Amino acid sequence: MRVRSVLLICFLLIIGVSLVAWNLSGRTPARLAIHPWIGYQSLTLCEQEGLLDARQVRLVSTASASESSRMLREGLVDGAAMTLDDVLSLRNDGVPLTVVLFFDASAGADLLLARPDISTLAQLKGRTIGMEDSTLGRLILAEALAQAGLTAQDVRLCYEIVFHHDELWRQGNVDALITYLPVSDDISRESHCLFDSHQIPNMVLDVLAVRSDRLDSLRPALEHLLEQHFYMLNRLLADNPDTLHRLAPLLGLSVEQVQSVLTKLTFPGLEWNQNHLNTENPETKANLNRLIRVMQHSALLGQRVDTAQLLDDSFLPRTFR
Amino acid sequence: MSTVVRLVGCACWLLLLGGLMLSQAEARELRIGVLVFQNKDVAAKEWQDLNVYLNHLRPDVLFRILPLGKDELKRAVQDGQIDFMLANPAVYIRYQRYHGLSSPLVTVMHCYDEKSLHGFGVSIFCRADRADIQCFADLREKRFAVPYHLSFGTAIVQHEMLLNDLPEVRPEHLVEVGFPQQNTIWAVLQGQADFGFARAGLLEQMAANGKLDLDQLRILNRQPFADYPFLVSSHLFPEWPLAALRHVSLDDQCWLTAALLQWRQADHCRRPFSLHGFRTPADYTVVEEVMRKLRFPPFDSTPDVRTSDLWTLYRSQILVLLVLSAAIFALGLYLYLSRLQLNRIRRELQSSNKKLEQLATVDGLTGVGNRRSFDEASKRLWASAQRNRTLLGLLMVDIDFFKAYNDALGHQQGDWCLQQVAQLLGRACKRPDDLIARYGGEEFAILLPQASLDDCRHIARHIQAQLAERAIPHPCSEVSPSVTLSIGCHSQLPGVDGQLDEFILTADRRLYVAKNKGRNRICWDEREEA
Repeated sequence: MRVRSVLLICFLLIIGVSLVAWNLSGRTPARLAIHPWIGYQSLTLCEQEGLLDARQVRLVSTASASESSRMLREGLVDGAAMTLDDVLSLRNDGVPLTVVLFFDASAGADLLLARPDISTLAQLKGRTIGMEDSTLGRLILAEALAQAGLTAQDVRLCYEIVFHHDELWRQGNVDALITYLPVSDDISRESHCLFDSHQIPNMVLDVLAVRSDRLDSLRPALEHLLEQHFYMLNRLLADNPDTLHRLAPLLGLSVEQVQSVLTKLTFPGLEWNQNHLNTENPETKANLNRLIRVMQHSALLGQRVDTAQLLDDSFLPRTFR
Repeated sequence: MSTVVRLVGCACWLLLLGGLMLSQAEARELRIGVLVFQNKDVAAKEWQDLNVYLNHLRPDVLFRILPLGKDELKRAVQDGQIDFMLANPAVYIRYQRYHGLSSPLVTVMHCYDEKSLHGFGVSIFCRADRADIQCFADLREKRFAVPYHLSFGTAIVQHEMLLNDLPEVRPEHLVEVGFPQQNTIWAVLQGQADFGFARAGLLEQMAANGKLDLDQLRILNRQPFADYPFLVSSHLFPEWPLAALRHVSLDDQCWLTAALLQWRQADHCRRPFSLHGFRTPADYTVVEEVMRKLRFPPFDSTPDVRTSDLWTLYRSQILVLLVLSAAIFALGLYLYLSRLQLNRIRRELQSSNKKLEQLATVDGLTGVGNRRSFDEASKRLWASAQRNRTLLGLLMVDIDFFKAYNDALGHQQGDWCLQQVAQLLGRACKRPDDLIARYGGEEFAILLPQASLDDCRHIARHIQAQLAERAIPHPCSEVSPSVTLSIGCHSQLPGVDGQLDEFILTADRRLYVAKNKGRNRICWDEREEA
């Protein structure tokens, strides 16, 4: 009888150890969509440098933000790197999303460029502005026009995706352009900046959004991912030459261009994320309300916007190595 | 008049010359030690423009840029012979720890083909004709040519090996070839080592100068740096820092920093790694991380590790280890307890066996040996007597008229009588080897090793005397009022062909003779009677 008890205990122990091992190794990895934007590349760099445990996290490369959104809608990925306004739009369409990380905030990387004969924002009245049909474009437009005391009815809009902005500019079809860095040499030579995201700090935020209904099962993977992100961010902020050289081919830019774009972005550290990744923070609340107002004004959001479970700071590392 | 003018003129010249000499004598000297691995004359030429620029900018100070080898630089820093040091990040970090240098004041900038270079790395190579080394993983257990085992380049390569899940190169596989770095290339080409490294750009520079055919080498672990003009096999690290020694005043540090930041080399950067200028200091944390990871000096002592660090780093492994340890402990405890139980069972078994053996050889009523024990003992003692050529005696004892005794007094009394007789026999035969057994019914047998017929007769008489003295009443005996015994005695020296059965039969026959002749007597010869 005693022998049987001991054998039973041993059997249970072996089962327990096997379960733990299975739990560690057999879990389906979190699939996260990433499109080529410098703010998100910390994750790609982590993957390249072997810092990401492939059993926990798998990055899915997409061509654009809209492809990442589509994959989220169709449930093909668990999360995606995107702008905060895209997160609000998707939530409005019924995709349950929660922001677990602020990647970066645009501080001049999103801008309104105008031809040399237009020297003030007010002179945009009656002119044609080229832009991408996105919430971000509308946000920049709304803020710029508001600063000039104009409305959307005062300007003509010409929608074109950002990859075609160079062509749009060269054809002379637009007088101004809402775009983001890096812009081509042609555009930068023949234009000057009238407005940029530096004037609306912490409004244009890039975030990591994850499906709210999968958060619990993805907790270990997300904690691991965020820890590695902050480790890589440290290198990025230190202007590490290796990191710059690895970033450049990922984005199809030169090292100088990467350095230039990096000066137009701020990268919130762990402390900033801990403070701002909840809707109770006054600054977050104010910026969020402002963004929601702009989006409502552009009919991108309904009148009732639910911000419950929008932000979750519980995945951030508690200690920073 | 002209003499006076001439004298005044001479005096003025003398004063001017004296003044100049005085100012020259008072001019302070600031020395910048630059670590060099190649020819010092070449290095001095490279730094000449900067030296002229600094002396021009500040005539009251004499600047001297001194190219120094590894050991010379070490001595110069130790003895305070220089004021500023420009060296690779690893040397800087080491000397900062050992000698208390300042924080980096500026970081040097290099350029190539009119383009600034961001950071530096190394090219790792083997001979192109080595079929056994096709990729980085093939470098396991290969000989590694290094200029010096603690050089930063060695650390960079070892770091890459760790990142590629390869073990560090063992000390016995390091082939030290000394500086300049070109030595590693020759060592690999001549087969003294399997692979080597050089600062990225050096191979291209040597190829451009016609000193090396790049087709002779295979570059391993190439990095995907589209915007870097050289073949690189490693991560890139920030360029060399310039730092001040402890004795240098803050004013001098600030002045030199400002001067260096404004200086740009007029040269058009055609040569790989041409000196271009200086920038604000880079972040050298990444270099320190690599040195810590590889335990390179000054991080070669065991780091202070907290238990919580171990838990954070190896949580799952520790958990598995704990579970396995608990399982092993439980099994060990189980084995120990099982052993205790087994010992107890063995003791009980031994005791039971002893009892069983006793039950098998002892007569339950009288406590003397039973027929089985007699059979075994008789064989043993017979064989022993045969072997030792000694006598063996046997008494066959029978209680006279015992059936009548039983019939008259009952079986209880009969048993008691048997017990009394057995006790008496036991007292009479005191030697350890003597064996008394109940041969059957009221008959006893006594084996007496080394006893002659006389000895047997003597013992038989003694038994009869003792019984007579005991005087157990026997109401039905025809020969005596008390219990009496008939005894057959026999003693024999067992020959080689002697038979045990015959021996016993003889004693038995004599017993019957004793009984037939009237009982209560001893018979030791069929023809005689005691």
